[in-house]
Amino acid sequence: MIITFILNGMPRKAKIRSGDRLSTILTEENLPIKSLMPDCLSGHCGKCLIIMDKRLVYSCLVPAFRARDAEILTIEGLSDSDDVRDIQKGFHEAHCHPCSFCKNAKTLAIWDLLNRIPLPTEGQIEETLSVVSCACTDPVSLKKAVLIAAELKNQRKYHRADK
Amino acid sequence: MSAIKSGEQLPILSLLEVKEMLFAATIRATVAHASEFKIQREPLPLGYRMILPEDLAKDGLSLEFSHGILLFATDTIQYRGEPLGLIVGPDPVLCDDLASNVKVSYREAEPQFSWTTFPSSRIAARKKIRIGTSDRASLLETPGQHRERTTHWTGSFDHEYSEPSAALAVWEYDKLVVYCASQWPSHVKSSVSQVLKVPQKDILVRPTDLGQSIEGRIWFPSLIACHAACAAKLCNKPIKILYTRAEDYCFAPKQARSYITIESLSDDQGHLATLDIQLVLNIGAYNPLADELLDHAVLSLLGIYACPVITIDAFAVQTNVIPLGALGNLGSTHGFFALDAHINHLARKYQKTPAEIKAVNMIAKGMTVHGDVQVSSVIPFSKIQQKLETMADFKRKHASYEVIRKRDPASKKGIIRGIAGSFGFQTGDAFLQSPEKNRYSVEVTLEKDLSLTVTTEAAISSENARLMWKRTVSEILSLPERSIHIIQDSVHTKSGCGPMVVSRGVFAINKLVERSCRALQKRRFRESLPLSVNAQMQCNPSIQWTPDGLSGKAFDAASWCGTIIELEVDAVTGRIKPLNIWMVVDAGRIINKTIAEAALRAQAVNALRLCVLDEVVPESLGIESFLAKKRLPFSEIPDINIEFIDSDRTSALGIGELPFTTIPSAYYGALAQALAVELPSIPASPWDVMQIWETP
Ligand code: FES
Ligand code: FES
Repeated sequence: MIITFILNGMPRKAKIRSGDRLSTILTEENLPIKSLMPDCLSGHCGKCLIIMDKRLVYSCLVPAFRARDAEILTIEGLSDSDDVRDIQKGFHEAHCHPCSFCKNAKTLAIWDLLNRIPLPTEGQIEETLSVVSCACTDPVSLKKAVLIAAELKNQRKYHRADK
Repeated sequence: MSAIKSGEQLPILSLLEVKEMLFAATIRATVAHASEFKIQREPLPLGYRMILPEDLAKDGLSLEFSHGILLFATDTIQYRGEPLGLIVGPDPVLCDDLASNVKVSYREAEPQFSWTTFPSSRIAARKKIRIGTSDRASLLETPGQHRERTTHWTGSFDHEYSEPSAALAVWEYDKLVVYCASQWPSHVKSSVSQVLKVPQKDILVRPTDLGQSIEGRIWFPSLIACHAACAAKLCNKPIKILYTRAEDYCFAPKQARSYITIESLSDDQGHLATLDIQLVLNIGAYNPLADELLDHAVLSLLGIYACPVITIDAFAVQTNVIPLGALGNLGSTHGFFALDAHINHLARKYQKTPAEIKAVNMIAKGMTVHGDVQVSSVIPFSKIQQKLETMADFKRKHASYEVIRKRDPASKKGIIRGIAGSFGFQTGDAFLQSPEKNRYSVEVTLEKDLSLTVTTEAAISSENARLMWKRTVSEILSLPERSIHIIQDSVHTKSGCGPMVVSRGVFAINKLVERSCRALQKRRFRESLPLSVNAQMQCNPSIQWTPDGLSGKAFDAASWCGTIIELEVDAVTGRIKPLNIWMVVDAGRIINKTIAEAALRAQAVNALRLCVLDEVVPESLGIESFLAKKRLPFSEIPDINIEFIDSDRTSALGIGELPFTTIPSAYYGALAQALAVELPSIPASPWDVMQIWETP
């Protein structure tokens, strides 16, 4: 079956078989997506996160046919955005250094959180960060990175001086 | 692809691709033990090839990996999942598929899973300690002494690497370049050179992102690198091996299990007169580090208590499961946990707090303990304890939880709480068995534009290590941190560098950076730039085993840590929830407090995983257990509060192992207070808790 969907603003076509996961389709060679690291294929690791129709989802748990006519966003579609730069700055300033394996997933999850909730509470941050499994980062630095990113985003949004 | 430049994030193998690259999948044994087996070579699709041990032999490659361990099983099968060969081809999924469908006929043998009792043929390493006596039988009770015996188990755990195990071998002209994430790149190089029978100079090892490895990537990456290198040699193509997550979970090494019994004689005040200890480590099918593991477990069991008579019989035992080994530190977690649990038991018996029992037994400056170990520095036990108890409001909480428990011993409806502390240390010593593992080197170059490059062959285990080394350079040479670059280079010197374990190598490199920068500082204004300084060091262990125990200065370069954990148990569901962790640390000079705290917190979370998650059951690892595996979600990580005490020691000391030596025992103590029962093991699941309550 051929399905069409919008990937990072571009219309795309993909040939799928029944039983295909969306993560498999998105990581196929003909698509310009390098940010997904489908790993556990069971909704545990979070390294396959995408935004699908404005919702953060594990693409390994989405049957490929569900992507028909959907709008899909990956970190490639955001990589030049101020929001992502804020998040990277947040990581840097908080001395938080996610590995290359999870950095995109964490960035996308934080991007999604700050898009929905400009001033997230600690509980909301924890809940968001729980979607990417990681046994290596200091939890305090990671939370701090999110708060810094939120502050930077709000500064931009409300034209507050960067002081 | 060339050496990783400064500032670049290290690549991950999932994304590394080279022209004409082929993939290799591992053919694995499907039985746990077989005395003979035969692999059927069946026709494969065009472009695919099977590589078996005889192919290696035909091409003059060696099958011998390390310590008598073979790259692929030849005669017997030692564990389910043991590599038997490879399937190489262009499509990784098809390779996996073909590998898992290879037909192998076995003459099955009874798998040996039992390990608390074992025949001598299964002993891989053994250590016998007799301090203050030549004989276990002489440990007889005298009037006024009480004999107490406890038994403790620790389970097996997964390392939860960021990226599953992988390696890529690529020909670059006449050299073979091996990309892999290893804590010990020099070992990758020497292993590959030995297997391919080529000089070490013809092998380059380039690091990929190591992520969190907590001692799981010391020797195993070398094995996969050898597999990839052999396939690259036989196929004359770049070969990538990338385990799937489930494969990594099922077949990469896990933490060794331990079974420890401690029998002590002590008086009513808790003064220890004798300790008689038996330790068994289940190391699975094999482990090249078995001796080291046993050494460190025994060292931690000797502990920090001045007991005049100690006997230890320790064994590393082989069983027919995947290799089991280090996690978090080299075997110390097991010993610290068991000894602290025994102290908790004595405290309960003598109606004292564990801290009181520890205080009366604690070693002190001026003593000679454990045979011939001189304690020449102050043990900061009371300083740490006082600060810790204040931070955690320990006395009040401990007393009130005791009162609540006594008033309502059968509380089965509400939430019950417990709080407990532990005290541990981490020595400056790394590997006791082989000196080459304690060797480190750096090259520091100050360029004309005043940028400075530190090049090391050691694995850079974290971004925070880089930051710490930069800070050291910056303090000595007054250079801005942005002009300092830390490069992990392809391994090219003969001496190589030892493994980077949780924190020790990091501080050895820091010392070298410091030494090189001081040398540069002296020459900087006298000679023209660029200037380079090379520094190497061999960290000799400060202790040695003797027939009567230990000798040396075990505690002088130690970092110390006190930890308190508060937790609650849901009396209805048995669910255990850690609420708070407090840690007070004496680690000499702290180079950067923020980074040190972050490193401690990250390891504290890992140490906590050993307590709260289900253990891996190596006998029945499979896709079902992988899917059912629990994780510690971010939202369930408790608050971790850390303080450093002012130390008059001027050198920076390691800290990364401290959570592993203190958190499991503090957790165990808190759980014992909450449940009013001493559990025999960690981890403890809600099911274990309910079982305990149900047992009259
Ligand atoms: S691959 Fe989708 S959650 Fe792990
Ligand atoms: S998985 Fe990437 S930092 Fe933990």
